[in-house]
Amino acid sequence: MREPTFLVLSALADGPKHGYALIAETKDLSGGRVKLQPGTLYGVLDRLREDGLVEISGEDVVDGRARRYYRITDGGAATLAREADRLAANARQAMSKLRLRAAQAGA
Amino acid sequence: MTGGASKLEAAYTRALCAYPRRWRREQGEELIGVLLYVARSEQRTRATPAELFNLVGNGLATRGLELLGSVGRRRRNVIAFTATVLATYLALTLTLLGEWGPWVRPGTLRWRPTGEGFGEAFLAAGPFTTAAAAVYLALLAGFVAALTGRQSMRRTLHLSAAVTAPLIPLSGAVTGILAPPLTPMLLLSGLALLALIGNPAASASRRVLLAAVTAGVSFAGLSLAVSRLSGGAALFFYDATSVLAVDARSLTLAAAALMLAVGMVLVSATRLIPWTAGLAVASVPLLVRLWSGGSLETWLAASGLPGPVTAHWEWSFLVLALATAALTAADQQIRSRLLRTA
Repeated sequence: MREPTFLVLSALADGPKHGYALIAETKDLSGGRVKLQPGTLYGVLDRLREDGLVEISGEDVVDGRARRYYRITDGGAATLAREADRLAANARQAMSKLRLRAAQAGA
Repeated sequence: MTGGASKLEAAYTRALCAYPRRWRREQGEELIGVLLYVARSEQRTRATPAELFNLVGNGLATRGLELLGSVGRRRRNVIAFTATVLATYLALTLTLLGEWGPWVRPGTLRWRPTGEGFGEAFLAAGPFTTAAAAVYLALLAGFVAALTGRQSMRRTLHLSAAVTAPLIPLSGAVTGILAPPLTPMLLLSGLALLALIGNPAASASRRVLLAAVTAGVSFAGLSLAVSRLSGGAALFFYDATSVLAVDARSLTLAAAALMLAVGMVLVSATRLIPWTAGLAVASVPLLVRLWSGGSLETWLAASGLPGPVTAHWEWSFLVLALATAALTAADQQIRSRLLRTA
């Protein structure tokens, strides 16, 4: 799973959000490193909706313009959990190797 | 709305034209809302180049995906099948005639552009004549991967061939190293890309069919090309100014024209199929001429058929094209009526 997709799913994990909130939240989640362009965000949302991982949860009108809210589906949450597990396992492996390296350097 | 904001909105609306109409209708307003919100938060009254580039890129990608989605998996697989067959045949033919054949080796060539500064060192790419051999080998390996059912390896090989092919003439232009011209390499790259839009051999029986059709087309195409090479004349297969009947350009053009005819029928919407099928049949004489040059006329003249037949054989395809269009249209009518009554 590519990072923007992972961040969008993570941003939706705690509740529905609209497009602008998703851009702000993914920026926060990545510590300011990833700033999604709106075009990229909507490309990611299109693919996630097509795969059934995200759905539209509601719509309101702000400044005379429609604004949709997006919600993660159960399938989306399961996919995100699997990916998070995989990344966490990778990170644990990397940390243990680094500790080993530090120990060898100290010996 | 202020002047700055309306100008900004107009810029975004223009960039959004890259998206398909249906997408714009459903989500265009919403995306513009987000873009304006981002601009406001950054206190901008102008769109950034990165933003516009991103919108146009994503819009075109969305269009591409929508087009692929509308074509349907089975038709995409047939397109990928045809493209794989043609790309493999071209890779084989160009390797044999353009890269490896003893008559195109440095030092033995009558074609060699003397006095243009090509040293022997620039002519040889290992056992081959140019670096384009790497593209052909990738395509051939991609074909083997398709036959053995290794989808991801096939995709990687076809994609790398598609990306590398146009780079070889460009790098040749920069470094002065002998390379094929751009047109045949672009056409080959296009075929490799089309091979990626579906699965050319999704089942075991498809794999057998792919192997058989590729072997048949390659053998027939190679025999035809060799038979058209004029009596032992050594040639540089990639000469951009060549007037020879058979070279890399004429072979890739013929393959691309055939792909276009097949693709046109496959991607057309159902109601347009009578037209595209008719057009494809009408283009048969052009395709035959591209593939065989004057060979067919010579063969027809020698076959003992009556003069008017051999002189006007192309016209029969116009009649056939009309008949194909009429029959396909009638078939569609009957099917839709049957569906209505069922």
